Amino acid sequence: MSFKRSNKVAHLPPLDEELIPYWLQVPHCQEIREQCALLSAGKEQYCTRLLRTHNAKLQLGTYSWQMMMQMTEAPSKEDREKIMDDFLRQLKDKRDGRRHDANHAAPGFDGILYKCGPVGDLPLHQAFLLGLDDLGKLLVESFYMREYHDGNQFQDKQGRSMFLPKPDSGINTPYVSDLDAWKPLVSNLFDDGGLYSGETVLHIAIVQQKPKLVRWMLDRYACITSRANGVFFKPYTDQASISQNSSI
Amino acid sequence: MSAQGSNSIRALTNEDSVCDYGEFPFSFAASVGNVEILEMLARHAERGGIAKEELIEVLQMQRKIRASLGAEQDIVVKEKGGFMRLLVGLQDSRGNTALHMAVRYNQKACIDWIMAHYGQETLHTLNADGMTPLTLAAQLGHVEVFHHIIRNHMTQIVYTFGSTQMSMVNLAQLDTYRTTRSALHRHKKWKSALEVIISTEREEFANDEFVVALLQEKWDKFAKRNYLRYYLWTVSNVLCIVTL
Repeated sequence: MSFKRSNKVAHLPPLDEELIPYWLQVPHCQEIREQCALLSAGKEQYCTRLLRTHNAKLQLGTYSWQMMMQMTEAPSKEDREKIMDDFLRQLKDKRDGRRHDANHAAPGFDGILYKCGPVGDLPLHQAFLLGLDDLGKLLVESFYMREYHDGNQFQDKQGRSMFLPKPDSGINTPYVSDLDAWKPLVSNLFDDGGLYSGETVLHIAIVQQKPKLVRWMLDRYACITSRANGVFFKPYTDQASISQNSSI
Repeated sequence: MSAQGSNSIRALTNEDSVCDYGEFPFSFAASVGNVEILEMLARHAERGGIAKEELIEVLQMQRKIRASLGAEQDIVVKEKGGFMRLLVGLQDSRGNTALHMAVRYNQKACIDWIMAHYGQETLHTLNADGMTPLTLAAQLGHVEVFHHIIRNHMTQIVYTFGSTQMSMVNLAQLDTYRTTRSALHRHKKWKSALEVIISTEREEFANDEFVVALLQEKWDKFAKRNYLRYYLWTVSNVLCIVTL
């Protein structure tokens, strides 16, 4: 099998480096593209599968995921809070244009917070997924609730300050399709609509069965009609259900 | 070779799927069986937690789904408790409501909560496979949930006299008959619970008192006579042909 493969040469269109997402390096990207291009016709589903295994590995390498893993593995509460403060301070410094740590190879502020990672996620999702509720809450309040900072607050009857309900409020940002980043790079993938696409932090809090967290999110206008329609939440994939899905 | 084989298997069963919890937060809560969160979401909807743009979008989507599944009723949100009713009746792209998901994961407490909050209509909602929550329970072999729904939510108590109780069960979803008045029976994919149990050959129901009693009753009333009549007719025909 390997002998045959070595004889083949993948004919790839030239690589536009601007299309490569921040979490992927050029040589690695080229390697994956060659692997996919060598697959024969009719193996589109296998190609998608291959990309997903790569994505899962790449996710572990992203900056925010590594910081959060350090946080979950921290031996004591103080250590944990120290790492969390460090992470948040770095983000804030980046936003304000200050360089806190010159030798750090992390991507810029937008790259960390608002550009989707390998599985289509944002740090917001990662924090709640890993059970770091306090970090997640801080991230939402300081970076994702844009209305909150714009001074759009008003007082309700009990004197509580509320935010204006907006369907595009940051807490409702869903996972995007994990294949979006690959679509311009790999031609023969099978597009099944993404693995976790449509999932919001509200879905995560519900599956983790945390009523207090759900309450907190609902107070910040989490959308209760958002649909998680990725492949992960479906019992099976067949051509019929996909075509039906795209029409609805 | 091995890659080819696994590829064809993947077309039948999706390996990525782990959490088949429906699509909406409400059906997620029903699947994991947390009544507190169900209640919280429903109250939030009642208090105006669904913004206008969301509502328009979700209603459009629901109408499309209902049209594609061949449902006849339209959604009305204006009545009292309309938002809660909307939330309970929401169907995902495979036609499943929160009640379907609660049945799938054996969540009796959630079934009870949904039935107490505008759930009567969802009891007759068909998903894309033509299954109501009751026939879904039959298909999956969830005997306890099946009886729980029949006993607590489909039985009408006529009278109680001391320790004696007279109750009625509507057989529309259970038995094999068809009427033109019922929207369920008019549906192309409709299969009653009895048909589902027999076609899937669920062992769980083999010694079930209710199902056996229903079959016995049908056998005694008309099936025995019909069977004998057809049997004798064919046997006599064959005999005639043989003797000629």
